[in-house]
Amino acid sequence: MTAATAPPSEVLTPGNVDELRALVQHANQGGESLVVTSSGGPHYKDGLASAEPHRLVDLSSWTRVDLVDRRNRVCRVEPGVTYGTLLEALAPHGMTVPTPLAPRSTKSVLAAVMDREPSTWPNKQWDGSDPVGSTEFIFGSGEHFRTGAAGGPGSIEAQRKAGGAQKSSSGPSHTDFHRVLQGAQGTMGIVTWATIRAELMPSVEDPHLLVADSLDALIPYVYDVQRGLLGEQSFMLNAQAAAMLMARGDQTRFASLAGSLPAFLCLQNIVGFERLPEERLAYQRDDIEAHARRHGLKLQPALDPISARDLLSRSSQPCGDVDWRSETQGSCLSIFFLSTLDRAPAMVRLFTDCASEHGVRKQEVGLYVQPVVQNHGCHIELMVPYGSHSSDARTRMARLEEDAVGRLLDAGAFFSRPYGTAERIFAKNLGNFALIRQVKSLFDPNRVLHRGKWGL
Amino acid sequence: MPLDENAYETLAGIVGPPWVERAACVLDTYAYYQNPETMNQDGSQWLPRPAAVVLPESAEEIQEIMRFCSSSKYMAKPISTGFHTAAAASNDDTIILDLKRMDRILDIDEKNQIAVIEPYVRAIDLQTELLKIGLNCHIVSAGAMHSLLASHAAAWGYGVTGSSTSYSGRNLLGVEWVLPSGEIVTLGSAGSGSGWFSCEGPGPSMRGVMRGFHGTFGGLGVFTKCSIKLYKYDGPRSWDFEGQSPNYVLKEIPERSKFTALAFPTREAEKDGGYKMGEAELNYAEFRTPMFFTALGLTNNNLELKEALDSGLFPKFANHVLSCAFFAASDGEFAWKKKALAEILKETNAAPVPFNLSPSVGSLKVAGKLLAAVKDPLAPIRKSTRLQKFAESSGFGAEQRRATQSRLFWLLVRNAVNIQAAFRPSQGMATMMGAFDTWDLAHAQAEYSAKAKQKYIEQGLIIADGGDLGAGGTFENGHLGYLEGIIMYDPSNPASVEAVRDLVESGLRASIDQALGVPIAGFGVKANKELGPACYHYDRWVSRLKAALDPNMASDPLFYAEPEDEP
Amino acid sequence: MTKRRLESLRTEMQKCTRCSLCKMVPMPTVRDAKYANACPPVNTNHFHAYSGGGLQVMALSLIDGRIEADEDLARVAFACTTCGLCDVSCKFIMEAERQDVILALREHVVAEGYGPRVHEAAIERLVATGYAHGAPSEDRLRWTEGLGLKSLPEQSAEVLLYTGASAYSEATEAKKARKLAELLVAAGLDVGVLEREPDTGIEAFWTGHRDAFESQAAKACDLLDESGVKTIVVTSGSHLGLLRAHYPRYGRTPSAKVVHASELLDELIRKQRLRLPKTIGRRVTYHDPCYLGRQSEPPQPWKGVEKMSHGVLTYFDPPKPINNGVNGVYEPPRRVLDQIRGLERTEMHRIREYSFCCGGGGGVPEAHPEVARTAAASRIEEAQDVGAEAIVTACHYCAQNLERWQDDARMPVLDLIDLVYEAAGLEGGAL
Repeated sequence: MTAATAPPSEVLTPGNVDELRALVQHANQGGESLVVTSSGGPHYKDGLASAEPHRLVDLSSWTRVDLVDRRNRVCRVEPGVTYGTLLEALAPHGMTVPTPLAPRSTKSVLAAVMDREPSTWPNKQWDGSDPVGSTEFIFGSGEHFRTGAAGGPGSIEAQRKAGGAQKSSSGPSHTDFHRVLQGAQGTMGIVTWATIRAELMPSVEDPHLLVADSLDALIPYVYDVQRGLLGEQSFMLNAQAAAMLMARGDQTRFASLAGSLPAFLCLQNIVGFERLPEERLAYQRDDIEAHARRHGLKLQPALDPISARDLLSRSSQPCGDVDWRSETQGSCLSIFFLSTLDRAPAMVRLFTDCASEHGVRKQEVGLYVQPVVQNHGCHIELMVPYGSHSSDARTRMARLEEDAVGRLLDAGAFFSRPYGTAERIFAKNLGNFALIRQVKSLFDPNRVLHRGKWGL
Repeated sequence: MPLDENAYETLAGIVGPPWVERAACVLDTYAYYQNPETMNQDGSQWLPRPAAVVLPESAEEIQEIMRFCSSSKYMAKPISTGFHTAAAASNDDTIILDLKRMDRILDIDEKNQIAVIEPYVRAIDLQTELLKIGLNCHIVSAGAMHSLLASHAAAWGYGVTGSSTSYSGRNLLGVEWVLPSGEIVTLGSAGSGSGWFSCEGPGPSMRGVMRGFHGTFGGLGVFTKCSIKLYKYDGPRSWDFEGQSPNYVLKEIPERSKFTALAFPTREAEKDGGYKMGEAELNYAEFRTPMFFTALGLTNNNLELKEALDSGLFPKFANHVLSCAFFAASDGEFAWKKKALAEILKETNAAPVPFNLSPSVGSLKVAGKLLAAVKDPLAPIRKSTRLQKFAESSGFGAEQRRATQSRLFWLLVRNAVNIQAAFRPSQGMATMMGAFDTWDLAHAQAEYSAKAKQKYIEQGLIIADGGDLGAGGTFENGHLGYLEGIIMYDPSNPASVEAVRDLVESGLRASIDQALGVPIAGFGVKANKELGPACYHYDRWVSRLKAALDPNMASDPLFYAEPEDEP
Repeated sequence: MTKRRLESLRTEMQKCTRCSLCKMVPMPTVRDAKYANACPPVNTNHFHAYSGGGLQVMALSLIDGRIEADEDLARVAFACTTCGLCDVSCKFIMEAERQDVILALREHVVAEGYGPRVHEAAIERLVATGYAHGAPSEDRLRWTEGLGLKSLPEQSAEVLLYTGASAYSEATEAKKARKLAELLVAAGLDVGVLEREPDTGIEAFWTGHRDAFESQAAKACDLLDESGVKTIVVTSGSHLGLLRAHYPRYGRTPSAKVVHASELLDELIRKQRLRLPKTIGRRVTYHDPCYLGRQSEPPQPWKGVEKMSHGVLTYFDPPKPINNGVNGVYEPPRRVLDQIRGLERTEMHRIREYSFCCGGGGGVPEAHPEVARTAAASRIEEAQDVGAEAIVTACHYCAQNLERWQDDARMPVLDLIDLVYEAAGLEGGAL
């Protein structure tokens, strides 16, 4: 789904921040472009693609997890830390973190959170920038900065001695530069570490599934439960997406699941933490059950052929080296955007109608709907797996993407994380884009960072 | 300088003559704010008289005004309710944009919990509509008469319900922004025609340059509309009250509601308590009310306050008090919360202050004498849950209990009795410290404030409030916390004013030297110069932003930044 | 002198923290956001200067020598109806005398020659004839014919029915006075009227003409005292507030006890000396007049000192009694109305000590008709909002202003006395 790109002329692996700064300063002097990566491949979105000559800076070997702080529920990660590593590091402290839906094993935590990738735990996300706390980054100009509480005054050690934990993302003072870095896909600065807000590990868990013939039937329940901040991890999948996720690349299993799963399902995890866990779980389950009943739904621990526990486990752990979306057929068209949950059904129908015009049957479309920011919005992701070896399929998917994104844009879909042809996305808000240009000219005056991306 | 005729004609042509004022008497009402004498080196209560005050009605009118300011010597300074010195003009070529005519609640999206508002929608206005439908907004400690847009888009953001409604700067979902150039930009999803639910994107979020921990205080254009995050509210959606000013009392304490003041025996216990309650996700609201505030809240005039303090009782039990409110959507939830709270109280040796014993000042005096040798008057209650239950539900003292719970309702839910009450003791209130990170750091700041104030307390220059008047609480279920050190001083006494200046300054220095975080007063040209070098030169970055977005200085820079003189 | 008086109030002015609570009802009483605002000039003109807080700051600016009295100051200061809402709202959170500053400021502006011209004619008439509406005619007491009222001071009576000379100039007031007299006589009271009622001087009071007011108040008190009665009953709420609360502040207090008609009627009904047999099936709401309510608290003498303790904690010893509007006349009118069979009474949102001013006082209808109009419109809308079919009030300034701006008479304005008269089954009736 990408325009013509040039491979990097070189891959650079600086060992520390000072070396990285030196690289950036050198690039400024030499008029070079740098593209930064922290996740291992394979990469599925075109975030690294650049038409301009560039060198790739690979930070995936920066794998430290430190400053793990149970009292303040926070930790710090370097760019190369993956979800598997992080979850393992936090577990002995009785903590965990919200994760995207089954991230691939090589996915960098930092890359995911800096891309504002949604997690499956919406009620822990208070703000669009969560779970990012403080960050350290290098501007395109080569200057060094720290955001949030880490921004100072004082060193990390001095702040910790005083009782701080670099948890707050706000500041310093009038600035919230972490927000500028998030979603910038490496065009504004290079993040060298971030603190991540952690959560308590549940002591007891009782996940359930709710099923329905339509998305519309699940949505009122989700609104009620999310408004009450009840339950923990929760998301919705259609049969196709659930099959893609649970089949683990097994074609036979995929076909069986896709054919037997209900049209739509919602995962609802219910837990108790450290304090009175069983009792917490009990009242939450009662309250959630009451909401389900009111909407003609039922909490079920399992369906034939999957259980809620399996789905929870699969969704909360790294899925493997290959992204689960692509496991089925090798590639997958993935169109994702934000909206509000009440508009999701209409957006989905728009896409499936468009898809059918491009020869894609409704049953082939995978749907993932994820409430975000305590359900003040939702991530909607439409997926069409296809064989990457087929150039016809690639062409068809490219055309579908072009057409569908245009229609979805017109219908009000908010492509907050632009991939693919981003120009028309930015064109929806030219005033905002003009501001981005101005900020880019301050943060990266010589256009060192991913020169040419989005026309910057 | 008074507005020149051309300027007057231009402005009158934009908003209409009735909405431009240049009479000196009117202008002076925009040159006087809350306790400015600590800011003015000469101790004056006056700030610069603006050139004019203009009341626009729309973003389009403001756009024209900004274009005018961009091409003239005048600068614009927008204000809404203007309840702080940060609303002042920096000089007499500033035109105040009083946004009072822009007071509409544009939309309440109940389902998605979003409100879209204009600048002069006060918290009380929106909250009154929201509570009826089981929603609430975050209200800052200035009290519910403050402008929601000002706190969410342009200023600070601390409030007593932070444990459940976060911090204003983190609740912004969209903003319409008239840049200093006059261009109108809408950030986030609203700007892309998708609705007002997200302020981030597309791509990098420009929300990151329009505010941070601090807003721009009118120094970078004008915000004319914003959308804010709303939160569930399980408290009473309507209520009856009786009584008369100042003692309005709820006729009934609502079901599944708990208003309590928890007295912890030590600071360590209070810190632990805050974290534990946060992890248990108990509190709807929480406000640290150390002993001076507890005494202030229980008395009706300053003589009573003096006598309450003289009784010697308050320091014995109220040095570490968290006043809390919690609600529940179901009986099961309420029962769990009560049980969890009981556990936490036991673990921290805390006790709920028995409201049914809210005594008169006369009986406080007597009790003070009788209990002179008693270290901890609440000791029996700390040990006995039975006594605690008795205090909470007995018919004995039921009216006193209802009255005190009502006060907590007005404070913690309606925000009807916040910061203004702090002016009663001496008509002067200032703040120091107040950085935002962890609850532990908050207490470190409170400890610093208490120590620093001691010498001025001993000199009789500020109120002897016990030293530690750290006000604040935890945020987002204990994930974050803050405490600002309140100082009560006498604005008519130059030595008292000087003491405050020194304390705020020392707080700023201590923030730097002891890594205590960027304080609540850490904004604006002067403070940025001091703090910036210790914080990765953020001051230079905001100056650069100012230079880039406001090259013609159309927005008054004093409480934000001046353009940097780049080499 | 007026500037000295302002200077003596410097501390009060400096207590203002510019919180803007003066523009609204005390926050715990907000039931509906649409009716949270309660300052008529601010609701109309919006600039901060028009608020109670704004007036404090302008007064401070004046005594600090930053401004002089001029037409602009007059324009703003006389948009205020002197209703006292800002005083009540501010006292919800602190002890500060907003109304004192506002009245002193207006007096100073007038003393400097900048009082609104539209007020001058009435004051000139008051000074020249003793009556703001001009000397009364020979048949000024026609409304008393056939009632057998005593003529004071020649005769003696228990109760003086005093209309503040409003019955001399306004036919509706004369009719109302007659009805009240009939009710009182029917209840067996020994009632008299002054052979020549003095003007209360209210027009001078609330337009800042201090000298004229003090002089008139003294004359009025002389005449009232001459009557020898123990009780004076006034027909209008504005007069009750003036006599009970403001006369004492300006040097004179009538010797007799001053009550409003509603208070006396309430007592008579409770003692069963007055019965209300007739049914009036109507849904009404009661508008609390400012000067019958929050502006009717007499000054409370205080002898004490201001002290400091705990550093700079200032306190008054003994505590200064604060008039925060709560001891106004609120219950008697309500009790009276509730005794009328068939009458359904519903409360508005802004009531009692935080009632919304109708816009009729302070000389505002003359100097700032737009403020008077918008205030009245807001009040009528509020009455409609609570489902009332009519507004009942107990002050003739309120009645006039609420009626005056209604093009379509969509909300009838009734006086409490008229309703009681009707309910008592006496001839005629309010409806």
